[in-house]
Amino acid sequence: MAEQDETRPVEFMEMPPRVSAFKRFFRVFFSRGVVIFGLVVIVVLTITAIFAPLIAPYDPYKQDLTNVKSQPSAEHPLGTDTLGRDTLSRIIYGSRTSLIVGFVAIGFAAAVGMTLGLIAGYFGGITYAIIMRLIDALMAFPMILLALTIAALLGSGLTNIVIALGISMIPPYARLMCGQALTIKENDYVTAAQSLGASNRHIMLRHIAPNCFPPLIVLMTMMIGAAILAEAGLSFLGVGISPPGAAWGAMVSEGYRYLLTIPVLSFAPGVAIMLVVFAFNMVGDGLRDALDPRLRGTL
Amino acid sequence: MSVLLEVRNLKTHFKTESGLVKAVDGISYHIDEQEIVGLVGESGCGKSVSQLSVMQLIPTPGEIASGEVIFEGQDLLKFKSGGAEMRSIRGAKIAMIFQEPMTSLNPVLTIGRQLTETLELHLSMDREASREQAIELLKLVGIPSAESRVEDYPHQFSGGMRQRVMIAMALSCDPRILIADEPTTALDVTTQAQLLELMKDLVDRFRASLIIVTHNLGVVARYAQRIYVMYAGRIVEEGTTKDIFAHPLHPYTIGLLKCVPRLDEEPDKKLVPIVGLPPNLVNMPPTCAFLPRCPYSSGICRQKHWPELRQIHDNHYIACYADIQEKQGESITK
Amino acid sequence: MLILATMIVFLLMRLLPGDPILLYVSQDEFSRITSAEEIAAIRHQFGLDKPYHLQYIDWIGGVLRGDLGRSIFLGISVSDEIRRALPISLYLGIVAFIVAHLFGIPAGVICAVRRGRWADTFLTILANLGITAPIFWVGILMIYGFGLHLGWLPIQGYTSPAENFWLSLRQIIMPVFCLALPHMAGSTRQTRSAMLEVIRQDYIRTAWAKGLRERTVIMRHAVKNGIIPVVTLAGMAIPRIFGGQVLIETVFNIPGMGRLAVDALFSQDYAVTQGVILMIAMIIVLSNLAVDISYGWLNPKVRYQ
Repeated sequence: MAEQDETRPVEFMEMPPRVSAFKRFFRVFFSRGVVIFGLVVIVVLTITAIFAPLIAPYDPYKQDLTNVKSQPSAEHPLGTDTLGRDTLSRIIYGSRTSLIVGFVAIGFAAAVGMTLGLIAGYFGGITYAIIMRLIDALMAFPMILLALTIAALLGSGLTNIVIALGISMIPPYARLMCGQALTIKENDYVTAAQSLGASNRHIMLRHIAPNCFPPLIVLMTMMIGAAILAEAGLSFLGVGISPPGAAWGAMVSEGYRYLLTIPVLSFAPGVAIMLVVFAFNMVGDGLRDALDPRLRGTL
Repeated sequence: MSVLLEVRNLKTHFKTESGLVKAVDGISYHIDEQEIVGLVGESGCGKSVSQLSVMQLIPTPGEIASGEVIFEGQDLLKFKSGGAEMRSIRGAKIAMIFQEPMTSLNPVLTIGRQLTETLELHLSMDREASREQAIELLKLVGIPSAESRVEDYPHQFSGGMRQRVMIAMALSCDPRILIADEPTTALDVTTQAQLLELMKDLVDRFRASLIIVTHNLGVVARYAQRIYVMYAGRIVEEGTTKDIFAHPLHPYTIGLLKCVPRLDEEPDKKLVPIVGLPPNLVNMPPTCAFLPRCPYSSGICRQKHWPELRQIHDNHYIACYADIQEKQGESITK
Repeated sequence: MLILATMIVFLLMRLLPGDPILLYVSQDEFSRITSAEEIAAIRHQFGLDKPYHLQYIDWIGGVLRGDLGRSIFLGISVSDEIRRALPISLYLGIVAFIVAHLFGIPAGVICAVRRGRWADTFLTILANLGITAPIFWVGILMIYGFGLHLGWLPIQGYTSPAENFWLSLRQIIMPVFCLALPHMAGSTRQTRSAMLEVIRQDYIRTAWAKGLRERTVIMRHAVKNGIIPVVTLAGMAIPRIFGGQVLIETVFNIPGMGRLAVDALFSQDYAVTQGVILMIAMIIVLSNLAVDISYGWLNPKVRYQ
């Protein structure tokens, strides 16, 4: 019917080639300068935390009573505190506290929260009612107060702070998982799996959970910043790591008393906190944009 | 009847990541008073963009590259898109209704409010008068219990009802031209018919002109007096409805008509689709855009640029180098 | 849900390690060795020798009568303490909430409407900084800058506006700013992204097609839709502002509920802590209710369910 002339120089217009999802992810993720900046900061931070003993010029616990409350100088770039300890070294070591608390608390909150949310969403009914009521009650409490109470309950110390923070951060994960579970379990492939005799656990772990990764990862990165801020607040109040241990919030608190004489003692750790939280937030934004820009505005 | 709106050589371009998309690449058309004109083409051919250009409602990254839109003796494109002159025309002299009734109305405002705000703006009516008028308008488009419904929200109306409200909103200030961009595509067939009848009836009553933008040939066949066929951002054929259906002369139009099933054909006659895919509008070659899919192409088509519209006979123009009448020697309709 | 919260609080307090009676006794001005009977007598006086559930019932009964018990350490009525501290914290919290959204929401709208221009870039950077800054540190910075160096604002303390309005105002500027900062920044970001979504919607195109002015399109059509997710965020701001007060009241030496709670927790003063947390929980529940109601008012689809 239609004559197809082989010598035609004009070919069919083709659809533009599909870019692989992987490449697209990297292209979007690295498209913004701040995201790259954040990533760099996080890498530097991790290296600093791991190699702190090698990087820090002084032992953060070592007191030098001949040189207390000194201003920034060539020997002590950020000065010393009331017991002569080098501020810069303490900040470097403080990065360990912040990172550990941040990651572990989030991990704990995510693990517990996701399990609870998954169970509540999947089984529904009274399980859902009970679990979500508890989560709501938890959510009603200001995070700091809750963490404070739990920390007071369990006593000071790094582990307990982490648990306290972790518990206070459970609700967002639980709700996220619950919402996802509720929607996903309506899908036909879940019904199919059920009719084939798959156990509940199998369905939850193999079908529902993997579909939740993108928003979950974004949530985790976003909340690391919140966790670090909360930890700083707690150590500022004197809960958790306190001197001689090095924690940024505690250092701010210490410096507060000597604000007139050595303001750098308070300023420097705060800058560190801001930098780190900013980095994690920017990376979180970048991840969210790269994984699924539709999430923008919801997380 | 005199010319109401004349568009000359309109070009609208979009700057995208992949390149420059010439969504509208130099179209010219006109509409007279009290006329119904159809603008036909498949998705992506630029028909919606052309109408949005007339209203200067093109979102970034698009921009009107060149052209003139002459209305009431002035070139609308010379006005600033957000300026007072353009605003006094939109909704008042030229009104537009869109394809998706489900999302085209603001969910948090009552239907009444969305009607009265145009009345207050363009006709300077006060609250009570505009409310009364809104109720009258709802009755006009066939919404039952208009007095109570005027306080309802869009989600309390069905799709067909919402489109009627859109029609009411568009006609509320007695515009000279109503542009309907795929007004019935999202609705079921019965509602489609009702709505089209309503629009024709109201447009006649208001003595306004109507441009129907659609991909559905059946719609224009019944209601339009003249038709423009668009492909890849340009007009490829224009003429009276009768003429175009009886003697389509552009290969694309012929192809379109061959795809439409007809009641008076033998039942086992196959529908003939147009081979190939619509063109990618980025970086188009200078030759005719329909060339890859055209069964009537020849050497000229490959060498020369996209053909200009040329007159075949009275009011019938095509943009094609082939002489179809010669090649075919048959007509579509019996 | 409130009941659940009270039970959790109650249990938590009882589970705290350490015996408040012993703590009290050791801090007592009588630095003699107290005999076991005396300890038992004090315990009995505070009702701490009864089984837990009876203690709980006693306490709830007291609450309903408006009596929150007595503080072991301060020797005064918890209700009095709370009555003193609560208005202060409420005052600061409400002002902070209002300030945060009064500035944050319009800022977000501006960002969305002037997307990509310098106003958007500038405000977005500020917002991003605002959510990353530790508020206690910001407070300290401000004290250093505005208080110590420039001497414009008083660096500590609190006076009731009834006593000395001008002084009170100057004193609360810095604490309120610090309390409001993360929520100002958060609501800017949230409003911005919600508005950007709304502006792309079909009904906004319809509004433009009707010839409405930009101001009308934004204010009447866009904002009413865009603000809906921001309300949810605002609901979450309320408990967080309370949390922030714990830090800010410490920094600025303000005798509010936050300080009360911290002091009580550190000294394991059951009665005060319970009372404080109960109050806070009630306020949060009430404000969440208010948020739900306003959500229904803003979004008609929810209303008709």
